[in-house]
Amino acid sequence: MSTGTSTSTPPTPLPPIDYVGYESEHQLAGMMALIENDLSEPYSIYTYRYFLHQWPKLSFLAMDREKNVCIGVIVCRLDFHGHSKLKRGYIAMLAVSKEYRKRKIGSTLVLMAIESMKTAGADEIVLETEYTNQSAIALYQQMGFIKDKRLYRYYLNGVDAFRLKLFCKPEAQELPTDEVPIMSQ
Amino acid sequence: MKIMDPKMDTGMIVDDYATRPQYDVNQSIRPRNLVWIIDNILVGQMTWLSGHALSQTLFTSCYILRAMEIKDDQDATTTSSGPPIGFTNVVLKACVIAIAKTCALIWEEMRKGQVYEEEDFMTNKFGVSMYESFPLSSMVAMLDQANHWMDRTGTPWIVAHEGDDASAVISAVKDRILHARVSLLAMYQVLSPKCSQFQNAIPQLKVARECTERLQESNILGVEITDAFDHSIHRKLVTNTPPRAIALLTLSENFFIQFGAQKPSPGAFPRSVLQTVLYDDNVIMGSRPVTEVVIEVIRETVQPLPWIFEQDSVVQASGQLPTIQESPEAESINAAKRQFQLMFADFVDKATKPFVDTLQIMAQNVARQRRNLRKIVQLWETLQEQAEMMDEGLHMILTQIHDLEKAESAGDEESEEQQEEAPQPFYFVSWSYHMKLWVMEWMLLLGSELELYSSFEFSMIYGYCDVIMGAHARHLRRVQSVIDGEMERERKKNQDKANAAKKKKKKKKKKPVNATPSAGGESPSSTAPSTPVISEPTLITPTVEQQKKATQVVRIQQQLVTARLNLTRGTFLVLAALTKTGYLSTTPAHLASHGLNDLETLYKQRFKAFHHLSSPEFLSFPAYLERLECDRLDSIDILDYAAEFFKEARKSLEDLQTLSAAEARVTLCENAWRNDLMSMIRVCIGSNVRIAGLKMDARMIELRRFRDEYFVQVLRARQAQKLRHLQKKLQGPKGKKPKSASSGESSSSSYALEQEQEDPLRPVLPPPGQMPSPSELFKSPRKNVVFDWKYHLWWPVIELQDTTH
Ligand SMILES: CC(C)(COP(=O)(O)OP(=O)(O)OC[C@H]1O[C@@H](n2cnc3c(N)ncnc32)[C@H](O)[C@@H]1OP(=O)(O)O)[C@@H](O)C(=O)NCCC(=O)NCCS
Repeated sequence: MSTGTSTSTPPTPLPPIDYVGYESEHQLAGMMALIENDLSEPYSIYTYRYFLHQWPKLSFLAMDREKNVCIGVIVCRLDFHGHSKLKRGYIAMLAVSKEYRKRKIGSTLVLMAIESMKTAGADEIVLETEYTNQSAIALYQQMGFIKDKRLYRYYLNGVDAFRLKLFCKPEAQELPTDEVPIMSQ
Repeated sequence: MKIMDPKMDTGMIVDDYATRPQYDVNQSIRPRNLVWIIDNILVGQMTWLSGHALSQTLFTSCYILRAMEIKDDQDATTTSSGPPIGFTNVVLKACVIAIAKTCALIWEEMRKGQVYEEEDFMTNKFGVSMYESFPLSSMVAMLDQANHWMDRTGTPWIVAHEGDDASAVISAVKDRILHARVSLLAMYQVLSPKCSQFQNAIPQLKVARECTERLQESNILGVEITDAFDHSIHRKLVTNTPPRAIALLTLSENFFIQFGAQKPSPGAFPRSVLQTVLYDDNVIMGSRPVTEVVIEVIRETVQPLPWIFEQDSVVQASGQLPTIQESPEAESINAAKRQFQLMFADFVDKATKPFVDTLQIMAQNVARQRRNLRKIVQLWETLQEQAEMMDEGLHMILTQIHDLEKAESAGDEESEEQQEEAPQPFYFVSWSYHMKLWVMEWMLLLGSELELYSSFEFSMIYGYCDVIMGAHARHLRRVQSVIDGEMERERKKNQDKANAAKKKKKKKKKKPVNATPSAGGESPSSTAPSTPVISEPTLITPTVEQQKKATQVVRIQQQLVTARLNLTRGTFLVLAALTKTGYLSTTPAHLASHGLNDLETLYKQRFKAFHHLSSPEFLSFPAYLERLECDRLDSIDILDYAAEFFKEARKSLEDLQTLSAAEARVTLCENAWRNDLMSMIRVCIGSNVRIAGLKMDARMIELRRFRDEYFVQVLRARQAQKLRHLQKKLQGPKGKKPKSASSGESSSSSYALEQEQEDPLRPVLPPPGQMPSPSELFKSPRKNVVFDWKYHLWWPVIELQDTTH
């Protein structure tokens, strides 16, 4: 079932793009081909199945309607974080085909994923990205993600990662009510 | 990781591998080959130290793996045609084994698990011998033998065969022998139990460093020899660790030099050593029990009453009450004191964990430091609660003592007068709070070092940091004045006694000694209000006399914190000025438009570690925004203030520079300390240069014009009001007398509109709600804000750049 067909018009002439939800394994080959090109860590087919079988509703594809090829993809997970009652969403993979970048396709996919995870009760959404991945970091920061932590040598190639985090709900915790008077010495 | 790359894929079969002839480690080599081999082994060693697997670094050298196969019994002098075999079986063998042994020592250290395996360092030896059992003395003897052989046989051969380069090649070989020797010895000494050899290691390390520099220079003399390194060895040393893609380091990246908060972040090895040195088996710096060090740190920082530390079971009340030893009151006081000493011992025990954990953090990688600091803040918070009980206990005893002294001296009006003024000290809370504040600052600023903050967050971070440091500086000033006050009282007491003994008539001036802010029982960590953003920079004016006092430690801490405070305030003000001109936003672009969350949530999360602290009070989001408003000053005014803060910071930093290492207590890390001061000074200088430029920016000028127009309106309105007032007064006989508009103090405390109209001396912008948006306000184009971190990793120098860049 498709989650929605975007009709928003991009600024530059762009072939029409359909945004669809993940439905079945027939989409898998196209997704894998796209991600293999772009991500630093290779995944086995089991990794994909791990996410797609458990959380099919949290993955989306961007399709070039005319060519009927997958040109953008996002894959996510949502479960309780550790033993806490906190529901944590996780963006496992995001990629947009090179020729289609810088046209808000990535942002749209991320927004769709965030929306679906929030609907499913996410308290926060996290992801990791190489600390040098400027475009991904910029994209996420525009949406209010902050770099929560730096993970030293996170990747197999020895590169550091940032853990990015978006807080979906205002904090439940009570803060001290009285404020600091700033004008008094 | 590249799959199917024959180097990396352990599962791949390379056809010729089994059939390839094994490298002959017994072949004779030329001295230039020797240089090349050793240099590449050293590169392997350093790459290993930087966190890669042995199998991909050191163990790629056939000589390292098979040094024992090099036969000693070949005649080292005979030469058929080629170079003498001694280059191989005397010099190279000795160097190789020494390097391997050095690595074995390091390996031992790393195995203590003080750094995080995999993340920091890989210790898998794949069962390969690193000559661990080879005695150190025979190893040194081998190296000396190699040197000797060089003098006798190697050098003449080189002279005969290397022509003009001969002397360079000779030094190159001998330097490599020396390097192997000093590195081995230094490593051995550094790692000796309980730091017993630490002092000896220092000269060795110095030689090693100089030697490394020469190695770098002579590196070009090396000549490659094929197959001496086998980069596919990884496959042979079967492992379940996936290999990492690896870039070998260069010789110049010497691990001896890197330490502390420097970039590139110091290698895992020095960090681990640092930890051992700091804390091994409850012993700090090799010789002293942790508790002793904790006591000393407390004593130095807050200087509690001496009797608290006294070891004897019978407490002498500082020699103050010798005549009343036998009285029941005195007995009960002594009992109370003993009781308190027990409490103190218990407190010191409890303080050990936060203290040691904090020290150990310094030796971790920076990313982990920050994560662990979040927990450490909590440890100090908990200790502070305990410290509060300590201080309460102390107050009770002091009251007892005080009452007793009063009773004793009843009738002596004068001493009575002077004694009732003793303020209540808060030694233990003071110390815990000081440590906690320092950890909080460290945590926030490390975030900058780790590049965690986006441009829209910087004003929050530096705004928050400013508040913490402000609290810290005030806190230390208070501690200082308590100590000074106590000293003063002590001095007076003694003087009075002397005078009393001489039975002279005294004519002393009665200066109240409780003029310290903590007098009256206010807890020093109580929620003291933060300094207004727009205020004069915090000044430190240590008099010569003060400098000489024994309160050096607090004073230096205070000065350093104040310098950092002024630096941080300056940075915050620059950020505020750029926010007012619309160059910086406090909101990420899509945050609001998509309703993903709100900025306040983000803010609270960012400072989550500080929410539940009893002190300092959490700086709320609205309070932060208000600080960012800077009393509605325009950007140019704000920048003027910022410049003042940077200037003041620079002054106190330059002051600190004049201290000797001993005075500043930085003998073990003097260079790092001086470099840090220098870097901070550069931030001040750099910032003030940029500020001069920023003040001429087109939008700054537009904002100034806007402010002036607004100000004219305000003046007119005020005039009109005055006129109405006057008219009323003329009409009605019972007109109220207008309040005097000439309040002497110019700045601060003018928020309400009416009040502001009474203060014509200070043109400001309209209240935030009445400000037009940047797009309405400014005609000049947006510019990019550039954060330059090259001076210091904790404070950026900020400037503007045209968007076309
Ligand atoms: C990251 C990626 C998905 C972005 O896709 P995209 O469709 O180009 O992104 P958008 O067009 O939605 O860009 C949104 C914002 O991201 C930022 N951005 C995107 N590409 C950027 C680039 N090359 N440089 C700097 N910023 C960039 C911009 O801020 C952009 O907003 P703007 O257009 O208003 O300036 C894409 O570059 C990609 O597939 N990269 C390789 C895979 C990857 O790194 N995935 C992320 C791992 S978690």
